[in-house]
Amino acid sequence: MADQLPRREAVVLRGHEGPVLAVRFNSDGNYCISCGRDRVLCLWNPQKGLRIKSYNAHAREVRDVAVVADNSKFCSCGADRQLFYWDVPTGRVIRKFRGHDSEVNTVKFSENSTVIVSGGYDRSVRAFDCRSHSIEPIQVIEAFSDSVTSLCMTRTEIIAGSVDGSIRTFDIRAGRYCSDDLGHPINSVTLSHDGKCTLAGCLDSTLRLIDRETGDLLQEYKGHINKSYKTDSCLTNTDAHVVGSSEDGRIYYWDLVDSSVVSSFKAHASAVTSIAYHKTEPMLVTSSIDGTVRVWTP
Amino acid sequence: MGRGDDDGSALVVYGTPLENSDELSARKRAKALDKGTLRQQQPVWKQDARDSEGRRRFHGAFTGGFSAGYFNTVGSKDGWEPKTFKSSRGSRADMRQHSAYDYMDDEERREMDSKQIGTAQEFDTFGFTAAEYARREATQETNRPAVIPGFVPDEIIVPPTDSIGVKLLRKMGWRHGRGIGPKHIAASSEVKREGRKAMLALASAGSSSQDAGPSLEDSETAEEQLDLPPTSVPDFVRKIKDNVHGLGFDPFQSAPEFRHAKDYRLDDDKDKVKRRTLRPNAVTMSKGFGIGALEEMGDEDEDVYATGPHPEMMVLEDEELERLEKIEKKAPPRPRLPTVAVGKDALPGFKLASENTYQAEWFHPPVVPPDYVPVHKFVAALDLSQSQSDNAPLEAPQPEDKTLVKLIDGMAILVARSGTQLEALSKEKNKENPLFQFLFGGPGGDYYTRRLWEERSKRGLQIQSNRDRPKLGASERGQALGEMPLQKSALPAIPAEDRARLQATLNNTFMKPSAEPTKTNRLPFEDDPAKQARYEQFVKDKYTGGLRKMNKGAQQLTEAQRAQEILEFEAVAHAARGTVSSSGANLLGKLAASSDRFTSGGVEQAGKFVKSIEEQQSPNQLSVPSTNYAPQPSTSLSYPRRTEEPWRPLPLLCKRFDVLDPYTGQSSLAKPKSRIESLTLATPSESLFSSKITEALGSAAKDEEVQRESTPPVDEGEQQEPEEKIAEKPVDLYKAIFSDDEEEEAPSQPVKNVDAANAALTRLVADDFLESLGKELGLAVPPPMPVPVKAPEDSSKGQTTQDTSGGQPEDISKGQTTEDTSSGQPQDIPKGHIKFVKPSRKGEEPKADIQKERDEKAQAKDAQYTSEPEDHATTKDDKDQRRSRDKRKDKSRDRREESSKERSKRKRRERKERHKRHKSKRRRTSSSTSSSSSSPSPSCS
Repeated sequence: MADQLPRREAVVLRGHEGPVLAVRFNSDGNYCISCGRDRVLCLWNPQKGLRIKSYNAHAREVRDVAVVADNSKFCSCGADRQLFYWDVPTGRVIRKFRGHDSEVNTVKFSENSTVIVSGGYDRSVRAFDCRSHSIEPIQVIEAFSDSVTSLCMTRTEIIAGSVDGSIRTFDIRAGRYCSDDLGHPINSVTLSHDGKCTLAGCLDSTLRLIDRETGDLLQEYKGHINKSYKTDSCLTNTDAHVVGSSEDGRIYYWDLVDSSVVSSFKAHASAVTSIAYHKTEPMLVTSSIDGTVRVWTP
Repeated sequence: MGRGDDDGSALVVYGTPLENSDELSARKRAKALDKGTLRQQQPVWKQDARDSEGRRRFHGAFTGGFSAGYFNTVGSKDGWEPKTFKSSRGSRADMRQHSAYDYMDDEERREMDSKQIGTAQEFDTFGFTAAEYARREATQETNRPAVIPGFVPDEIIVPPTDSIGVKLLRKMGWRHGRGIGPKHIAASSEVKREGRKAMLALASAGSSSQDAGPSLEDSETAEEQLDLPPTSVPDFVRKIKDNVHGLGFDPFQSAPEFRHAKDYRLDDDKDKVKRRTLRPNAVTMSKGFGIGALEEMGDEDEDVYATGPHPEMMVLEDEELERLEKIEKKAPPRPRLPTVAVGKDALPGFKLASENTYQAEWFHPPVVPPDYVPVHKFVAALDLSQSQSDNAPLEAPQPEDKTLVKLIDGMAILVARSGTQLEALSKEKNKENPLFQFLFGGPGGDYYTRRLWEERSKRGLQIQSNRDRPKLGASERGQALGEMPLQKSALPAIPAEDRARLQATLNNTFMKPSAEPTKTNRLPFEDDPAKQARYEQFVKDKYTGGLRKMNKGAQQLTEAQRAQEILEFEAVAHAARGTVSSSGANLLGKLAASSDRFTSGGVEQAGKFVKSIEEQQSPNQLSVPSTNYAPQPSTSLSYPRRTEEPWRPLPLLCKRFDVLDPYTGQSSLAKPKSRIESLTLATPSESLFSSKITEALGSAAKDEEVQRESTPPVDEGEQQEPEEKIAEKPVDLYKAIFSDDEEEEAPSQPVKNVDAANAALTRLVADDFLESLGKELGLAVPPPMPVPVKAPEDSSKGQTTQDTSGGQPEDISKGQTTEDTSSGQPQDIPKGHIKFVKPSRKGEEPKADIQKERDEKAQAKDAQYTSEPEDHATTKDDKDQRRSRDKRKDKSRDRREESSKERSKRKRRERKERHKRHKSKRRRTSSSTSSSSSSPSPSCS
């Protein structure tokens, strides 16, 4: 089990001129897209290590990117307070969504790709409509008391983690929201693949696994360093391990159940900013301040 | 011309006989005379003035004077002939406009025309004039009988301006500017490119040039067929104007040699020339102008749009290169002089001087000193530099007195370390002391200054070495930039007191390794060694700190058993620690010193106090009741805490998420109701009630559970009764809360029984909740004093609790903890009927008072083990009642662990009901509103 964890460096994707801030797989995992402080988004083939296309329109650093389910479009956000809705083949910006008062940290698509949800430094989560031509948000959620760092979506819920230490789940179907206060600034929020748990990366160098039903703390994962940078955490495709990135450039694998460090290795020269795990295969992509994106396979 | 046969002369004459030479010469002469060519041959008096056509212009004074007369002016012998004016109804006489032209002869007209400015055909770029001419000619031709009778507008018939040959060539793919002939001959790509360039330059070449073009091309091709490609060099691009002179002005007209000089100079920098000459081209080039379909696409075609050399310039360059080469061969390379660099060639007619008289003056670079290091070094410490280098005091001999030397040395070191203030201080201090005279420049003063300087310089070096600090981290940088530290943002906008409360809650949850683990000499579980081992492990974990771990030995136990055991352990440890715990006063002292040093074990009360302080100080704040001593390890954490609130997604968002709007039909956004309203208007269902409270209070989910479990009694049948009663009178709900309040608030008596410690623990939980609840209620209308309230309606509820009350004596090891400071009066309460309303904790009392009272309380607590405090004047029954409730809680807790499914079901039910309530919001009766208005004061009910 543990020997199937991606630890071997398969490909190094070079091309960004500066720190890479986020890397994401597309929906089938054949491509990945990265963005960075050089204001460019790059589409890669992680298997072959090819740079397919660059997308250039952002005025300032690009902080996050999300791909539509059919891979035809994607959306990026950044420090220029706008969301760019891109067409993948032509590389043109279809729409620019405004509304955030400050840097936009994170962006996600709803499951049916009709709504873009973004969270930003302005302590709000905003939902934008892809179907209409309006560039104004359809809903602004200002329940947070600090910067919203991370988002994840289910079919009917928006789950947002914030620096105020809370994971807030907005259930659209039930018309309720529930807030799980973890007491530590939250850096990243990921759902397990069964949708029952939330993995929250906290700024006290701890990952916490929360039961979504009850809000109980199921497990804590420690060992890595995460105190000041925005990093990512996720679960492997089998949900058997937890993957975390550290500020010293290492990647950590924990056992999901007994929270022991299964493996860790030095992935980058400097802090790892973002990781993404393939949906079906054991493949990991990591991005770092050192300007590279690396692909890891078992 | 006749027949010679007939005449007999037999002479046949053919042709015209020659004229007589005299005759001929006479006629010629006349002609010449007429033309005036023979004028010079005539004597002067026979000559007369004639114009260029040989007409006589001057007739003499008596025969008409100058230009008068029959020949020159009018066409009649009679001279001026007046016209008759005729005008009738049928044929109107048109008013003819006379112009000066009518009275001019050809000469005059020509002269007149030469003064006007018009376009000449050779500059007809766009061919408009040519077209105009053609049209005019065509109209002249139409004077003949037309094929189409009647009026035909000129616009329709536009005569062709291209010759048929041009047309044919066009159809064959020829375009203007291209050569005619076989392609292989036209191999010189350069020339081709020239042609294309020219074509591009004049993208829409005029038809006039098209007229002229082919013929010219033809002739050229005829000429160049042999060696040159048959390219039509456009004749219209003669020279592109690249100067600022007026049109047509040639500054070198009279000095052509300067033109050459200029050309050379330009050629000196070819690129410059190219750029300058081709800029107009680049401007006229349009981007959409591509290569024709029939044109071959060669390598040379790639840079069609590139700014290549201009055709003319190319020619010129070629010549130039040749010439330059010649010159280069002839003249040896000479040094270029910056001042005389005119050109490579001298002016025509001049020769280059073989020797240059001008000598450039060269200076040697300055000599770099051998010890020069090209890096600037700063002196060690800038602030100390003046004391170091500037005025280094002279080396001074040591004074003879050894003690004085020591004193001076010590003083210098001290002063260097601490600054001159120390010096001033010691100066002041030791004014009279003869030993310290060196400070005032007395004996040893020089030595002192020297030593001081030395010490200072040493320190300066140290400071310098300190400067090579490690790099700043993100947090330090953020701090330097004035950003909020990240860690603190976990508690955003929380006032200091709340933060302290949070700290207290944290202390309740997390264990810090306590300084000295309590040595329990007594083994509490001697009879069961396994249990004893587990207990020891538990105690060890407790003192190592961190989160509570699952005990490995307890794995064979069931969940409920384990929970029970942990509770037991807690109680035992609590008791064991209680015996050795320090006094309350000490604890408070500790609290003041460092509030985070408390463990959850022995000093629970101190934490409680902190909490009560916080609540008194900030009653408006939501208090989150912490579940201390919760049985499960996971619930022993206060983080994560769950809060639920209604939230309204906008209809569009629901639509986009393919979800029905949960708030359909509601016009306005569901505002979060005021807490009192939500309390009083809650629908009378037990589960709803509790959940509503928790919702309103914003308490954690676990507390909700605890609370809910606390209310239902063991017996289900029993439980039904109060629910129904409440259903009849929703107003009672409010009291129901307070009855709860009373039951749990009822002061306890300290009993030293270890076995009942778990009851104390659960009571603490309840207390927490009550505190927050009381605070909540106090928020609306704070009752200044605790008021005993008669609430007969509530008796049912009270009785349910009484029924189950059992008779064991109670033990609260630490005694009453959440004793309200303002309600410290003894309360004699008849059992089950009088409600003790927890008073609000508005900050009515100054903090100092609170602190004082707290101190007293803590002391009282110390005394609790020996004597029962008077203020805990609760009846025995009350105690029993509460204790039984606690027991119930424990049981229900066990039950809860086993049936989490049921719980989730119930939750779902609650949620449904809550929705219902939302919908029925508008249907609410006035009674509910009145109750809400009356509700804020608990005493009314």
